[in-house]
Amino acid sequence: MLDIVDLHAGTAATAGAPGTNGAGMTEILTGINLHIKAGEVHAIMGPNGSGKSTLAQVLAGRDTYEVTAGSVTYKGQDLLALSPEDRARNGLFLSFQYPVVIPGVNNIYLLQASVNAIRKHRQQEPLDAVDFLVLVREKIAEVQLDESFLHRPVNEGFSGGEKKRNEILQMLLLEPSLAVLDETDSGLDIDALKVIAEGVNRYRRADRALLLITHYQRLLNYVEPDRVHVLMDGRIVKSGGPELARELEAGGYAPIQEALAAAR
Amino acid sequence: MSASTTVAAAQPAWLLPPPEASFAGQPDNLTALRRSAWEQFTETGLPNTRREAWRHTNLDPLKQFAFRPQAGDVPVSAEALAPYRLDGEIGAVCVNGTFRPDLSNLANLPEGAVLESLAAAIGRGALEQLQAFEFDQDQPAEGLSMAWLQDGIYLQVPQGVVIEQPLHFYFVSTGNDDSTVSFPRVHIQSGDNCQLALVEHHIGLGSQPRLTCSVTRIEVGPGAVVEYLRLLEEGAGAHHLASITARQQAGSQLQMTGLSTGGDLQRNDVTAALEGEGASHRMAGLYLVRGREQVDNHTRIDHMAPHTSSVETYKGILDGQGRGIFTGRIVVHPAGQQTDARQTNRNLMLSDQALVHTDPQLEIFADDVKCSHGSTVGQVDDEAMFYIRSRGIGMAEAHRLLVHGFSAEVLEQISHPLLRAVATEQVNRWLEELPAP
Ligand SMILES: Nc1ncnc2c1ncn2[C@@H]1O[C@H](COP(=O)(O)OP(=O)(O)OP(=O)(O)O)[C@@H](O)[C@H]1O
Ligand SMILES: [Mg+2]
Repeated sequence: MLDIVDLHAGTAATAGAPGTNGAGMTEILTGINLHIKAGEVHAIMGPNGSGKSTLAQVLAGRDTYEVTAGSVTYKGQDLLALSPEDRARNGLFLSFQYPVVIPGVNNIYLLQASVNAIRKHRQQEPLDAVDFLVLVREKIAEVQLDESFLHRPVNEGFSGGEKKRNEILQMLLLEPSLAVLDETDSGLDIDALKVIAEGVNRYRRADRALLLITHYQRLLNYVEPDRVHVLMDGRIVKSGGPELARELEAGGYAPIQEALAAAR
Repeated sequence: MSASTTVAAAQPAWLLPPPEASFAGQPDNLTALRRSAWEQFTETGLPNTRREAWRHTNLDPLKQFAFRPQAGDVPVSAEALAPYRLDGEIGAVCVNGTFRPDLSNLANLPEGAVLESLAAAIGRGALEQLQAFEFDQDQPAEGLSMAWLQDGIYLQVPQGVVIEQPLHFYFVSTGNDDSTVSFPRVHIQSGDNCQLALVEHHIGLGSQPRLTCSVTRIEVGPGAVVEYLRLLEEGAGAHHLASITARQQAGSQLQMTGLSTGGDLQRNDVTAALEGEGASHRMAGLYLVRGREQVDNHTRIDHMAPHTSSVETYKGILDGQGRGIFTGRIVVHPAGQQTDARQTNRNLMLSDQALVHTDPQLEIFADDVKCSHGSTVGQVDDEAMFYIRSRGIGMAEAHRLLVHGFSAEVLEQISHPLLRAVATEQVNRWLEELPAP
């Protein structure tokens, strides 16, 4: 479903700044290789600032990052050539680490507009307000968010956990094929974590894949990954099965860093 | 100065003097006021940009036209107004400044309330207010409106009357190929503890050059609750000079919202005097400009009694080479102890060629007051744009959504649901024509 080959990306920087390459770029992703098949769950772990969110945002099409080398193929097409909206319409979903507040725009309005944009792409009839309300009520109950959140401006004044539930609500409504969840489990209380994990498990299907970016083993206890990858300095430096996440939880990143240093 | 023959100041070529016939049947004291207003206007002319209050707005372009009032009854069909009608409204219509009973519908007006043509109200001597007129060069709308005073809409709501249905005053400007001028005028007198919600709606049919000098007076009696919404949607060719003044008595609440979309040039002078103890005021404005349009808002709120409060929210959305001006003055008089006054002006720039001037002015002559003001000028938030697009929504729609979101703060302040709906529709009409970024 997703094939990332030698992906390099960064931000335009003032020339001569430390870490800047010849083209005036600060490189954040320094050669990512990652292959995810339909039905699989992959987890990415890694220290703060290692490039996890940058990878997620590059996949979703954020234009502050420039891809300088490599390729991303999604369902057989060149993902990087698509606009952010076309990526979403083709079934890619990003749950943001920091969901964005949109003053003055009602949550339900955004939800309905996005569901209908995606339905249109799938050549389905748009849902009218009544049908949409029925659907959204069903899904919002699944993430155990009060219906009053539908009528508030998007993410405005939402607590950290409420924002994450709202991201999962969007995922459940949009029914993507590939969902990238960037620390959707951070800042959640124990009950909320369970709610999110249940939501994620409900989403799983043989034709859908999942990329979980996380700092903790906790979520992975509920959502068992097929592969776990360690991202450091913009590269995947180690991959393994679910046991790798437990090792990291116990020993941190130091052993991997030391092994890398020794290998150099 | 030569010693030759000039006695009176030269008449302006762009605007004829009020025709003699227009004085027929009016009371003598009004005739005197009108003649003197015209004389003073011809002496001073339009204010130029050297005057502080007109620093950013040049009225010289008006002088290229030859404005004259539209003669006779102009055919306007009821259908032309149908799209604007509100459910259950009490509608009063003026076409080019003249009251039109044939297009008005006063069936839902409660007993005791008076809604009639201003000419009729003047005829029965109901308008002592007019006597208080003093010419001010910085207020050409006032001066010209007085000089040409003919008609308009008069509303009087007696003590304790609650009007649930929205009042809808239409001022339609039409015309043929000539440049036309009109002088819409509204006088509202609301008695003690009455309640009403009113839309003053300026609609342009046609695109020939037009000048509108609009004057609105709102008297809010003790304990009265009044909501006033002013909609300007006049289209290309429209030049609009407006003066809106309100006076509030003790314990009254007045909410005024102005929405401007469309028109070449607009100047809105809005003033509220909080004369009675505990009066509270909300003043909001939304100006949406594009092309080479310009909207100039001058507001003034006077806190003249103890425990008065005001919340002022003006927002601008500027595209193309549009220009916006906000000058907001808050004056707390010595008697205005325990005043609470808050003012914000926020502007969203959609083009790097658009321009906005924002100028808050606080003058405080009392010591126990809370006053704050803030102004911002910003662009569409990239992060929000990306977030929305990442949900499958295309660039143009995402842009519209964000721009609409910016306007929502003002629209949400409109209390009466039908008033809020009609204002929202107008904003949406503007947004439909918003080009993709
Ligand atoms: N737009 C940007 N401009 C400049 N630097 C950036 C930008 N985005 C990311 N970076 C830098 O790139 C590095 C990787 O950031 P990223 O957000 O991808 O880290 P992360 O692995 O998600 O970290 P965390 O675990 O804290 O969420 C950091 O050093 C960050 O400061
Ligand atoms: Mg991150």
